[in-house]
Amino acid sequence: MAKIPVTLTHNGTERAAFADPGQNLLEFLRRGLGDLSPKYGCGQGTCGACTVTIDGETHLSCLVLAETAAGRDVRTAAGLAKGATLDPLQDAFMEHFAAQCGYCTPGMLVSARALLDRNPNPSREEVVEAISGNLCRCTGYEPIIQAILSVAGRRASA
Amino acid sequence: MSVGTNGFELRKEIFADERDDNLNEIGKRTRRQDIEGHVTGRSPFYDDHLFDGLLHMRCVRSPHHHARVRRIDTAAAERMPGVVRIVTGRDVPVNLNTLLSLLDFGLDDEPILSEAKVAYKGEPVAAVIAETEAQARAAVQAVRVEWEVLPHVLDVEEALKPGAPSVNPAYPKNAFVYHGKYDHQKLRYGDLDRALAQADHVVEGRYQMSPIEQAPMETCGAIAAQEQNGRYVCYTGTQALFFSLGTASKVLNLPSSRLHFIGGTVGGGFGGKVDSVHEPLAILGTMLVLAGVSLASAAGDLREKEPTIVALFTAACILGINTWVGFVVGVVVHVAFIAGPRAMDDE
Repeated sequence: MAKIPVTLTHNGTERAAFADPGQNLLEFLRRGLGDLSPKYGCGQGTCGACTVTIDGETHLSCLVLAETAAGRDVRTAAGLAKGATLDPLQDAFMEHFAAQCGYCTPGMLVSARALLDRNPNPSREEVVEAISGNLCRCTGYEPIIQAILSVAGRRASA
Repeated sequence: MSVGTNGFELRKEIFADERDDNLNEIGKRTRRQDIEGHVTGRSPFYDDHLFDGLLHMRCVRSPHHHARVRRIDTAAAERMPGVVRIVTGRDVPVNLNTLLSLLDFGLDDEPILSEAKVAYKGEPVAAVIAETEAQARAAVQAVRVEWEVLPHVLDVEEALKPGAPSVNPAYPKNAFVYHGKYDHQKLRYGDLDRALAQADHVVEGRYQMSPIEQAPMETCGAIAAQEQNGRYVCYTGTQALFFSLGTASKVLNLPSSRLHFIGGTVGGGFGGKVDSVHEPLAILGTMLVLAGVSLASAAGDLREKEPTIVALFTAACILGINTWVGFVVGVVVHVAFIAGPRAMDDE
């Protein structure tokens, strides 16, 4: 079957590559564009390691057909830092020990960034809700919640 | 040199030029050395290595808990689009291993690809190598295996009853065999009857642990490719790099000097990434298809994950306790342990 040319905006830059028919956005980003920051965890939309934003909304890229992202604004964890300047969330994750093995971290950061972009002052409950689609097996979530709240400028409520 | 109050000698001068040995970390925030890679998405996990023309390997697995393999018919699968090669147990140079054989512990009881019999649901009997992951998965469905279903046992106490099916031929009647220098594992001393007679209180009980599944976010897998001078490189998520290297060397009958293992960044393991099955399979695939083609055995999505460790203890305890003093004077513990289908699935 013929490959499908796909042009999209990737972390602010227009990029184009060929997608295999049926290829998901995760594989397109990783193999097609070489952005390895979204991770393959379960491949069936349960773990959140492949989370990206499309036009500002979080999506599980393993469940998105690559060709349906054509012409849209796709953002991944690799686009969070601007040159050497990290996103405040990235600094906060380092400061709060919010990553251990690091495999869920890119997807977790994308979900957190999307939350703060639409709601700069979320409550603890809203943070928990925002990352509820991102599984983490190392941290027990609490350091992650604290890291996100520290950027939101809110103290954790018990 | 300083001598502590307990008589310990602390020779701090030995590492004085390597680190400050005044251990004063408690109460401070210490940054992990690898965390900047994690938050920027740059940490190199095994699957984060791109190769041109990478092929994909997926396993044909048993749908039965216990069955004899009568015949494996790969003809239809071989004609499927993108299929490059189908690997079976006959292709594995030394198709029987146990992980801790590298420590001379346990009998070889685990085929890399089973030829005669499967001992658990999900046990691999063949592996398909294809151009894409989807093609490999499709061809896996097209491999026809003729099974002779055997009676199985899932409960540890059932497994120890007379006449229970033997799960693994290396361990008849499901009893672990102590061998070699490890034949003195029974611990018995003291006078239990006397201890029980003098006890103020005797407690009997049964303790059962929950089964364990590590479920790391990054599932098991390995990528192998040809290097120069007859060497193979293997990128792996293993937690036990040198075990995996030694295992691959053993089952592929290759000197370890021909294997170049690269690991270190592990997407969670919790003890479940020591099986060292994906690495030799990925390297074997690379050896068989050659033609300058590298091979991925990203074998683990959650459905296809190796059934790593299901451990389950049953302990019946009789404790004799002197109530007022409160110490145990005698204990009998019977522990039955589900090691899974292989003795070394029990780490």
